[in-house]
Amino acid sequence: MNKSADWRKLGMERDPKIASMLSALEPAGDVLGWDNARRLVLSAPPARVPWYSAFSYRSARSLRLAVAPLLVLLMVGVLWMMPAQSEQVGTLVLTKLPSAWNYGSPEFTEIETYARNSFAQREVPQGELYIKIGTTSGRPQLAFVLLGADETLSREYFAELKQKFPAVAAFDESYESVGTRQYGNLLEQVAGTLAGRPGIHDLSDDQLRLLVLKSMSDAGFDDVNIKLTRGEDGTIVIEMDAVMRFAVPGHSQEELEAAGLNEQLLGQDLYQELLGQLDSQ
Amino acid sequence: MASQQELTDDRNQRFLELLEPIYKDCERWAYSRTQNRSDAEDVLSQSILTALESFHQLKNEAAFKTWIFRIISNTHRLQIRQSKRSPDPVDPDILATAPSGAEEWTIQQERSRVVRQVLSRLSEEQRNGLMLFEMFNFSIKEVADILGKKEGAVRVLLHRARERVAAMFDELEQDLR
Repeated sequence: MNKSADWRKLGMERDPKIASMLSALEPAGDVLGWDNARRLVLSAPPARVPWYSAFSYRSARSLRLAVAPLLVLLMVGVLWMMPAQSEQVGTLVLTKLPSAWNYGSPEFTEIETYARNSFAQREVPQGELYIKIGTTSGRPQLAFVLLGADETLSREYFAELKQKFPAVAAFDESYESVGTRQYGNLLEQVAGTLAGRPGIHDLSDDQLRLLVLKSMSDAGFDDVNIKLTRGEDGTIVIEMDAVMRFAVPGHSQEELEAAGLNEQLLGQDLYQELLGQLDSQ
Repeated sequence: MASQQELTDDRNQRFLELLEPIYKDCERWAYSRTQNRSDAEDVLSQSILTALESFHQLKNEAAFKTWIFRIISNTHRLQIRQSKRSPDPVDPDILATAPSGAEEWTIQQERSRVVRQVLSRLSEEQRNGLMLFEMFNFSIKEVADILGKKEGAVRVLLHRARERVAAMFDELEQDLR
């Protein structure tokens, strides 16, 4: 081993002799074993659903579901599914709620007004801004859901807010993408429903459209617009735009009000939709 | 919207997809930290559960390996603190001779003994840094992330570890003459 090498350069190149030496420390056989690790994961407690996650599911997405050529369908009877291009539909900015701030307090009202004006001025295409207060493990948090904005824009936006409101600047915020993996599961549900239907290739466009509408509605989507294209090779491409239904299972209206989900924040239409969801639980 | 069960299944599936390709390295890292199989199993089990519980906080899946290695390090450190034991180094004198009544030592066992003897004379940070860089092929930046240090400090740490390892091997060679 070269002891006299410039220390500034060392650490850039690995020494195979050291790697060989360290290989003597390898455990003989498994430590826990992959099967045990897998069992551990599958038997672990369920995922905690953050208080703000339901709120961030509200968005409009373009979904694309491609059906395999008819010949394959006849032979195999299985639909081939291509999940939607998962693009980010928005960003969730999460930070601590400054002490003594509550929904309706003068401080919160001031930042809310400023935040909405600032967001509106940016003229984000299909942009929507939601501002919420909630708690995680007893710690009050403040969430901004910026639909239509990517993380770069969200960071610029929030940097401006922090400059204007030092109380918010005192805490580090986190950024989370909105609307990515959840749709994979839902598309699988929809595809599964369609695949379970015998003779799907014999359906007319109208019949297929109705079937897709029902499948999407059962999976939690509304305002579904469908475009069907049949290829000469038998491929059916179903392109959809849909709005996910706003659902907050397991909460009472009082709990949601306490979390800031009221008519003033959400607007009348969304709030009424939310009450409808609660009533149907 | 997705139910809690759907979220759980989705989380578990994705977590296992990311874990499986690097799982062997995670076992090796846990074992290299604890230097015994039983403790390594405890550390690894707890680390997997901790990582799974905070999986939703991981923003960049490309950094999954670095992230879980850091969790394993922290879990081991915490377990040591809780058991009120000081961290190994393994006593080199204990390892210097084969246990009485032992079966014939294999070349592998002897090699392992010598390596442990050498590594025991490094600080814990030097030992961990060296293993992460040389054995697990992490970059300087990734080693720094896992150890919670600055990149410059990691470079110095690796340089010193290598110098000491080289010196110790020279010493061992002289002893054998």
